[in-house]
Amino acid sequence: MLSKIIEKLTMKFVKVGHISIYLDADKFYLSYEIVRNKNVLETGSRIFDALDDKKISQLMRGFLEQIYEKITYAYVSTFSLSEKQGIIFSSEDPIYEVGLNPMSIATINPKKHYEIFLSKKEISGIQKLFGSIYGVDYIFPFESIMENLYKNRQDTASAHIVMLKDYVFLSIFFEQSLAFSAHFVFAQEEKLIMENEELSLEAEEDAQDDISLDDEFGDLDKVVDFGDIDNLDDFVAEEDETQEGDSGSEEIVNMQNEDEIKRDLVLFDFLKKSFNAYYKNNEYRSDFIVDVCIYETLEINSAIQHFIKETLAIDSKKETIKVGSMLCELSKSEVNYAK
Amino acid sequence: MLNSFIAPRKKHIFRTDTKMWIGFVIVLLFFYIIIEALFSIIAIKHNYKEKGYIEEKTKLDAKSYILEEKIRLAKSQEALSKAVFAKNINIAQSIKDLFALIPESIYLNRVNIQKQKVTIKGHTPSKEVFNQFLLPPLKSTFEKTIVYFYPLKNGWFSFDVECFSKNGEFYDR
Repeated sequence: MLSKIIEKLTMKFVKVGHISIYLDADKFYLSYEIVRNKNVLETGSRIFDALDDKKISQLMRGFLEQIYEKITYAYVSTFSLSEKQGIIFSSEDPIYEVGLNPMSIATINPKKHYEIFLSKKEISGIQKLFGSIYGVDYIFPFESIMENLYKNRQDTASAHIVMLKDYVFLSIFFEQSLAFSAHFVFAQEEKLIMENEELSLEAEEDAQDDISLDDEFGDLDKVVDFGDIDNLDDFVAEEDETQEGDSGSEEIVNMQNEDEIKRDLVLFDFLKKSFNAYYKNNEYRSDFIVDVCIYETLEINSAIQHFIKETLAIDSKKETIKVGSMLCELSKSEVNYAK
Repeated sequence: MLNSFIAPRKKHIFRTDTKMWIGFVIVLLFFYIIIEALFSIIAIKHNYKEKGYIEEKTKLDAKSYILEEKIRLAKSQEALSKAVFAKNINIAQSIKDLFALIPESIYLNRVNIQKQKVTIKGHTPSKEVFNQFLLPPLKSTFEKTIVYFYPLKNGWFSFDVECFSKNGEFYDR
């Protein structure tokens, strides 16, 4: 209690560091902002290799020590990348009715119409990981970042896709509020594909299912033809033709190795399933997504835009974002909210 | 906590090493205060005892002074009594000597002995007897001797002699 009072009293006069750290593709992405009384004094970002067991390296610890030397209070934030998280809308069944044990999950309710949950085991795992750098203060759901990305838009229904190296997050907003959210982990999906040699067969079966689903949504059927991506070679060839028509550079397509093709395949599969799930909801089935924004942290993959164009028959925008900076912003808003 | 699954950690304005130093200083201060308090208590007790001793000493000094005064008084009284006793002896001896001077034919009525003056009143058969037998020894004893004679009906004379001694009491001679 006393430390909190002192913290609040001294917050305006001391240097406060907002540090964001997240793990993606065996690398830790670290961003920091040093502020004093809402004035940003210093910002920076670094990428560190994770150790074999996905732990924080000594080099990163040393860098954090240097930041800690400069500041009085440190707020370390990250976001959960676990499969054991999700979102439940108030229109859906309560948590205990959808098979989740309320005792084993932590929930937050940033907006009244939905609740985000994360397993407590996962929280403990994150806290243990950050234990070597004196702990973590905030674990945000990715939906919070999505909310920030959507904040100033006025679209009726828009989809936002954030692509990291290992993770993809999709959120669909309808009339200023989150209507759908899903994410997946590339590594796990690719592993599944590797294990299943009959991938193309499964994809075909999925497509059949989707087509049958699409039959239920007549409007979607007209704009979505998932048969186009059932055969990856056909899709790549199509993309190749498109790009040839645009730039005439064959090299771009040739550089796509097998891993990248698989990656695109699972990504498209995820997006396809997610869009289908969104349109399944009676509340939104007649409200088409009119805007798609794709946010990437590093390089923009044009294949996904082509997929969106083919699937939803709309052009998508591409933007580059700094997830670390956005986490720092969230951290700052949390600190200000606590005041 | 608006968007986070966990609440932020407690924040401390001082770093761990600084806190250790502060803790160390506080412990030192605590011990210093304890030791200082102990010394103060001891000093207070000491002062209290000292004050008691001083009071006792003052009382004893007062008693001692009173005793000394008493001793001094006793000594002075002793000296005085000795002096009085010696003087009494002298007086007795002087009176004895004075009376030894008186011849058988002269009668004394009254003798008044003062410090430097002796008055003798009596009867004498005649002035000659007085002047022959009593006056010479009185003159030799006192510096100044004044004699007054008063004739009596029976032919005797009443005399009144005032003898003065200038150099002190006549019985100290």
